[in-house]
Amino acid sequence: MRKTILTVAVALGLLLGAGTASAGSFVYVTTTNPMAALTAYYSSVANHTGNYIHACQNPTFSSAIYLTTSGGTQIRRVDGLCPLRNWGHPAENSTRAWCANKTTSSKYAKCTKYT
Amino acid sequence: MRISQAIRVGLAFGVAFVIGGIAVASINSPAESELTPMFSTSPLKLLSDGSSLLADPNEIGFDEHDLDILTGASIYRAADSDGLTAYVARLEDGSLCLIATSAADGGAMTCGTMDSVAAGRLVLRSQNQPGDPSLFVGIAPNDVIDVQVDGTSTFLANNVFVGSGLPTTDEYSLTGESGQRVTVDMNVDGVLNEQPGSHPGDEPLAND
Repeated sequence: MRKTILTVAVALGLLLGAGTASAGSFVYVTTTNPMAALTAYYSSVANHTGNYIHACQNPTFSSAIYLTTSGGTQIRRVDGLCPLRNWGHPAENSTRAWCANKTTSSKYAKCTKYT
Repeated sequence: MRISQAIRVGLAFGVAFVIGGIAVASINSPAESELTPMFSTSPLKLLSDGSSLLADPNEIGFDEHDLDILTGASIYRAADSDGLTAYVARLEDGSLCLIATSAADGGAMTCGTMDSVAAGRLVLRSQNQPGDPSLFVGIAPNDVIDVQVDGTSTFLANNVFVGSGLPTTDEYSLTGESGQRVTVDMNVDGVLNEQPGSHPGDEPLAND
């Protein structure tokens, strides 16, 4: 049941994020404040060995990064406390970085580019 | 009549302003820490092991942005297991970062406080593809003697544990020297359940 909800939430996040992503470059994404439960946002990155980070201002909850190919296939998922970073093999190009609040309550959080 | 209408409109705006202000203030206030230390908060033994201290942090293979975060940090090589190398970094402000790297897949890093560690929550879970095993790497406080994923004990040394689980597994259990056992579900805040220990070595409960 929880997985189903998350799947739906990720799909919703995809719809919400569709307007913020652009191919080939990182797009700064700030989630709603607080970030709603079971929602996800993504940014596109040209090469996920590059300069992106998942920063959350409340470090006490678990969250996730989903990385997908441009075709939508997941190539890696990492879960952990915020802040959470992930970098991949150089061969994994043109990926999207997902930032998700997996918990069932809203959180004060922000997903942002690391500068 | 026009005056009373103006008063009513004014009152409505006033009430809306107050309610809105309260809502915004509430939204913008970061939540208080929800972590409850369940294990020792004493400095990790690993951090007093000079032989694990990296002379050159660049050996991890970070990019320049990662190195920015770790400026001034002491980084310790803690474990090599399951194709991963795990490092623990102590930042200048005393916070801790867990870093796991793999030559084939890259790496990940999460950071927190000693309270995060003592709550059993400074842990990375990674999965390369849906359906692949989930891999857990975490920092174990000094008094944790066993960490289990799917009922199987993980590799545990130098304050770091590494273990794999089923593709859908997103929780793990830590057992302390005094027998306390804590199960952490990475999908929820805080500790999922707490089972106060009585005697180390007790048989696990049926629902573990």
